[in-house]
Amino acid sequence: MKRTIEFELNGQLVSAEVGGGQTLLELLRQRFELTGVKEGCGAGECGACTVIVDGRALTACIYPAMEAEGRSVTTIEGLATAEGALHPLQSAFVEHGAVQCGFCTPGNVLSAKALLDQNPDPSEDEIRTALEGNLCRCTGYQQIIEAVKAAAGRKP
Amino acid sequence: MSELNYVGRRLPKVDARDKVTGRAVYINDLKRPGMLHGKILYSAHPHAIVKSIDVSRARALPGVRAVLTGQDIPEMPIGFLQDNRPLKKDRVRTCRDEIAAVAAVDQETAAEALELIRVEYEPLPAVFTPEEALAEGAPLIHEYDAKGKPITSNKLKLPWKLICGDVEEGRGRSRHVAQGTYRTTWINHCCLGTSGVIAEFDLDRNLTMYSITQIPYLAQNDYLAALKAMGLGRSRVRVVCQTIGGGFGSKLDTHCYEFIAILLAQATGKPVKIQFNREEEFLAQATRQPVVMEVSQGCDHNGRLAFRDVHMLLDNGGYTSWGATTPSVMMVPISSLYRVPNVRYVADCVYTNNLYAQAMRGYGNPQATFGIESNLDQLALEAGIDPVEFRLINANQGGDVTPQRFVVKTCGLPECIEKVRDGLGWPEHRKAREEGRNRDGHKVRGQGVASLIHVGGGARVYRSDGHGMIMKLDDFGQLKVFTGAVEIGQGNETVLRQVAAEAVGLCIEDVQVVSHDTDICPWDVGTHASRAAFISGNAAIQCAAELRRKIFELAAAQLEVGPDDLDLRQGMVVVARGAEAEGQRLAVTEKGESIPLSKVLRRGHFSPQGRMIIAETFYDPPNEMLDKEFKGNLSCSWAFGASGVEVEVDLQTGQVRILKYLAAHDVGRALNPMLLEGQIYGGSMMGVGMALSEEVKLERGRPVNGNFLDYKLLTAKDRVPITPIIVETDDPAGPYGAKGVGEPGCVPSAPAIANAIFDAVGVRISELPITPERVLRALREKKEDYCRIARPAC
Amino acid sequence: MKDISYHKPITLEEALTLKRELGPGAHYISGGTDVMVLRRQRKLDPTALISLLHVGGLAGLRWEGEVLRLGAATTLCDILADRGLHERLPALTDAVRVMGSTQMRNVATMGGNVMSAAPSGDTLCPLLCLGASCRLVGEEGERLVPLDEFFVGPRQNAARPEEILTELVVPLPGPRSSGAFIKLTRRAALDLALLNMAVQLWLSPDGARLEKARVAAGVVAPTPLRLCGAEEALTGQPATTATLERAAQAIGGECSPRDSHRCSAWYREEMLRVLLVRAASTALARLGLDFALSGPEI
Repeated sequence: MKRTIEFELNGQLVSAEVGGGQTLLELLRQRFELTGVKEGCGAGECGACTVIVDGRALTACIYPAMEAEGRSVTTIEGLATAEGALHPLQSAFVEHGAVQCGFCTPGNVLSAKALLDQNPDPSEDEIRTALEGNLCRCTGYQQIIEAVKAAAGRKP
Repeated sequence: MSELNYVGRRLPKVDARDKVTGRAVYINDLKRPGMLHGKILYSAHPHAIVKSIDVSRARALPGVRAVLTGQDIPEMPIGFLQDNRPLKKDRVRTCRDEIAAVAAVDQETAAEALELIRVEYEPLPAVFTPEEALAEGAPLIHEYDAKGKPITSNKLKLPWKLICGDVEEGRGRSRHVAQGTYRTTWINHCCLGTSGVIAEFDLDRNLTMYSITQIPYLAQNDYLAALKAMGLGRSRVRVVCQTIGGGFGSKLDTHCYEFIAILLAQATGKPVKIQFNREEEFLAQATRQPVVMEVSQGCDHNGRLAFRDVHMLLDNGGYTSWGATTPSVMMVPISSLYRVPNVRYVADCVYTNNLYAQAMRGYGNPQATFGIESNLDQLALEAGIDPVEFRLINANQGGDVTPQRFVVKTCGLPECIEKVRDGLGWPEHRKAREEGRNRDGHKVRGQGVASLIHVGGGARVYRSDGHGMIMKLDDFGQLKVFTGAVEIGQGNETVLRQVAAEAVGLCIEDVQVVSHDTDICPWDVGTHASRAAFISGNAAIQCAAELRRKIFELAAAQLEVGPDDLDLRQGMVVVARGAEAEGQRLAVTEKGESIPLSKVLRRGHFSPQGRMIIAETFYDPPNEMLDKEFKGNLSCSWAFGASGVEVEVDLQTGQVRILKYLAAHDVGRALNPMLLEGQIYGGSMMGVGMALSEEVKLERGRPVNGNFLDYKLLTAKDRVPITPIIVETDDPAGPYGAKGVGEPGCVPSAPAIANAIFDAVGVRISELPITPERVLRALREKKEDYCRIARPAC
Repeated sequence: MKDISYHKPITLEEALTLKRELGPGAHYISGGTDVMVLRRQRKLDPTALISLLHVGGLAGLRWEGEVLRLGAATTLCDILADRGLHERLPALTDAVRVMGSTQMRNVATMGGNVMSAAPSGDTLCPLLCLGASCRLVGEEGERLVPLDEFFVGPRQNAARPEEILTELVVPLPGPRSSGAFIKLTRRAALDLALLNMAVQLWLSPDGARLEKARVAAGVVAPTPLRLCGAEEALTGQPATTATLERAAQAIGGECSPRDSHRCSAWYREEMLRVLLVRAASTALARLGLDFALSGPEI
């Protein structure tokens, strides 16, 4: 049964008709065409669909869309400015070779952002914990970790 | 060589900005107007006769636009031996066999329709190991070959046999011999972006494939053959690649789902998309070949290798992909890793009712190297020689011609081994080990090393190893480089841009790479064999020379100097050689004077009978196809490397933790060290996964762990402390000296880890993955042996 | 997949009414990390989902004298954020720290983990050791069910279909007690336990003996299990390595580990003894005794 909900999406108030069985991933990709939110497994096991809801990273593929109601949702599309200026984390990913095929990249960036927003100066272990749910097949993670460390030193 | 502006620099990937902002469009994200969604029904049995299929209820479901079964499609053999077809007809041979396909208005309707299809099967006896498949009385998986000739054995007619020298002679004079049996298993590529395609016909029945293939031009060929079988012999095919969410060899074949999309698009007259989910990816996407290999090697009293003898059984699964040709690359380490005069290699690929296997990073090399390098450590032990020393004694050297007739011009293997030895602190560890200081409670540390050789200058596994390239300059001095190579995330487009800017003499900002479209870009055999940077780099150098010739010809007339007097640097045409050397000065232009290229180009363009500057080239590397005896210089440059690992083994749980991982690679020259390190990090991690955790577990041919929870890709939390070490040997065949580096990272990981475990606790794990269970069982058995032999009373 | 209705009651009464009206097809959901996955796998096909996240008073920790009242809707990341909790109930935080991933812990709830009753549920063993009870609210009112009686089979619990778990009541073990949890996995994150074990030990006032011991293990039986043989072997004994080893050997017939594609039975069986010694050593080390600490995951 569909119902219209309102929530904040990348800083703007939006409303959408949502089905009770719909996932946040489906809502963001289909209704809002935010295809930076990737589906890698559909079961919360790879992190490609990671978004930030009320400051916390979560996997949109197993999060009921209805639960977005009244909350603030940030996707990868909400990070760079309209003029194309990248978020410091995005710049760091670019500059440190943290991106290869790129499919896991939005999820990794958002997991890292949720971490840095709460903990601006994390240890390597804290970084690895924040990214433990984001599988990457290309990079072996090292350059991603380095990018997050580098971004931690910069002001957004 | 003059100073370089771009080659050797740590430049970010050109596509990275699009990827970090979520703008990059993967096949998963692409829609076409009017597009339908296709979905495939897979077999419920690993081996069965299909007695009947009833699709009537599926056809009647609202929203369904087409339902196809094997009966509805023309004969359309596909695969390396043409033993597969998009939809199976009378018989299924694996659990991943496509039985029927639906096109519907959305994914949900398509999925619902599949549930309405009733299939009646008559199960047949099935075989799930090559040994079973070769046993007497085993059911035949294919009864006829592609030409209709009866088949009498499950063994494929692919005569992989390499003989160099005389193995028996070598064995006879060996002072020490080691032998063993080694097993590897099914590994999924686990591309984070699942597979998908959109097939779309225009009104003239020309086909566009929105694809993620690594081989656009070979795929185009396969699609053309399919269209011919469908009665569309005059149709054209355009392949447009999307951003690719991981390749690793998984896209080196054309797969059934792609042809099914074509068939559904034809049946409906609409674009049809087939997009796998993760479960389908684990079921239907072909894997790395599992092998069982028997290896024996021997050496003389000085530790010099005298022979190597390898017999291998490969589980081909139910159908044959290009992966069945991996023995041609397995031969590389078997014949040529270290100096070994006498080599024998016999490989049999065998049909089973498992999934099927295909190419994956390293193309068989990781499997073969696991056997060879594990066994080599055993031989070093037999001979009483330090494993690192043993490898140095036998290491290849620049100038070698190997028994398989590989011409090794440059070889950094000794240096790689030495760097890994030093990085590990090998001598210190040996000493600590002797004194029992490598043990802390129930945890024991060990070190191990393994080396690699791989094709580093393309590989002529196909008749052409070539690469077409076009360079086009516009009025503003902007260069477009049209390449047939495919970017699969490795960074080829970035490196190509660096090489092109360097070779032409432009600012890198003025160079853009255009790719991924067979209508626009010239032919390339594909992104495989670690060849993209090497081949497209050389093509760029060759094409740049032609482009510069044309530029200088144009500029010379304008500047009234000779073309040979000119140079192009950072987008400026420079008079490099003054005319004063010639004594009389006719030229109006002074040495050192320069003029923007754009100005030269505009003058050339906007003048009567003007001209524009375009250059094209086709670079086919000077390598050889293997001859009938499987000999020849397969690659025109050879990549080497060594990995050194320190592990900690838990004696109580059998768990293995990696404390150090050094990966030294002879890369010829690092064109972009940052991206190169990315290949080493990623390749090594893939190798570590193969060694320790990854396995598609099959029960009666069906994956039982086909999801990311149960298929254990390592995570960021599984800290594998990889240290890349770049060794440069400046190969004369390579672009600016570079060799291919895409695959080698994963090649020596498993044996290096297995050797380190042996070093720590004295058990040889010869089956991958090295699970805690396997380690603990081996520890128990060793203890029992020890008790039986040394202390019968215990 | 057919569409379903989604409800967000804000009181328990409203939730129970919805459940009654929507019938047996309606399913409660909180963080959704289990329900949404089961639904995708078609192992669960609800006609309606009733979210418990908005019901007032279900989230948060309340320290009340000798008990901790742990709200069912408390997320796993909230558990980790509470430093006092780690000091007082380290076995529980050990377990939560190695569950799933950061993203999962951000939404998954304590109540969800308990209600799912998976044989591998990581919080279950520590809660069993601590003697926790479930407060259930249903049509017939409220009841407190000891966790020892709550798990009745794989993914089966003693709650009636309409009953809602509101909180876990955890008796605080006191200053002379500590615990530890160890999870055996194939990788460091995003993993299910091949085997998990929690231990809670109470020292005698002079610190020489183990006054009381609780041991529980998961994935060795259809439900998480108290290991009574081991508990008996520990109780009243001196806090020595020899005692721990004897207790490991006393793990008995209550365990029936199975072969699965994830792990062999023999390996689970052997690891039970290893984990017991390690978890108990960690607990004793936390009590200031000279024992080795093991990581929360090995």
